[in-house]
Amino acid sequence: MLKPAAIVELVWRDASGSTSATTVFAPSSLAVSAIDASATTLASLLMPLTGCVLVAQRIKYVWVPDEPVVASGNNLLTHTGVLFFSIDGSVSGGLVVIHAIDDSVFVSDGPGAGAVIDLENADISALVSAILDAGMCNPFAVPFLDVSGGYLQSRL
Amino acid sequence: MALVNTPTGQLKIDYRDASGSRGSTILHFPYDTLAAVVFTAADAISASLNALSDAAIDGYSITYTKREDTPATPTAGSRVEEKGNFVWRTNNGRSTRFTIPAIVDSVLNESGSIDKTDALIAALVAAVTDVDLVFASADGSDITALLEAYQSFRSSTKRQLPSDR
Repeated sequence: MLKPAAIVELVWRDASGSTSATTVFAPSSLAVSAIDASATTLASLLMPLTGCVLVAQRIKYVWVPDEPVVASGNNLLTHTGVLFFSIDGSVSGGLVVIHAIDDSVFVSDGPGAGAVIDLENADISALVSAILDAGMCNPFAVPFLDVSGGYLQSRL
Repeated sequence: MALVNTPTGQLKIDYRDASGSRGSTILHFPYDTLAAVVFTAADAISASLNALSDAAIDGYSITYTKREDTPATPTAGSRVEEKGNFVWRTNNGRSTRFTIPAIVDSVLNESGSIDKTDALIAALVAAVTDVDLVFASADGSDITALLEAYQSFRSSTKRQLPSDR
């Protein structure tokens, strides 16, 4: 369920370079543009009250499960699968990690057995479709075109 | 000087594994995507991740970030550890608060309380309690009045200590 309030942080920096945030809340039913407008007004009211300068603003909506969740298996977070996505001009312009990845998604024969992700796996295909249908992109807003590969990484 | 949005917003899906350790998967979406659209996508992506992971998904968040492109120069001697604390009443009888780091001395009384008659403070109170600003408490209740306003000091973290000490 969506928490009733979105978190709004105005981040300030002092003369020493240290940062701190003024944290306020806004109804999560509002669009980010509406919250942003109020945040801009609030920042203008706070600026003459502080010796700091404004360096960033964050608006964060939070979803929490409505009942306790339990891990379904024993693989730990360090057992991580990585899916690479192609973008225009590159076969690996973005990646998505899957922590505690289930061992059933790896190919079972060949040199990649147990390490290479089977892109034909139904659950992998469903995830890829959900990511592409949502219009996800890399941090530079370059859209993902398709999954190009994936394998198991060991995380410490 | 202006706050400029980053190219993308961030969807962070959080996990907890069988040992209780926590991790996350981070995805990005074009900044102008509505939060409601991202939530619909997050539901679908989370469901797919649940089928692929032994860990449990115990929440996700969507963050839109803006950064100042040409920050001004802070006032000499300003320190974020010096806080202006503002405690507010909400319309459900509870309270909420926020702080202003490096609060200026001109709005302080000798005791360390904040002068509520100061024009800048009065303007802030009017804006926060009025319907024009959308801010509320963490449970979504409207802010109705200022209860307390005072100066206090937080301990410096190790990173906030002078690097040339």
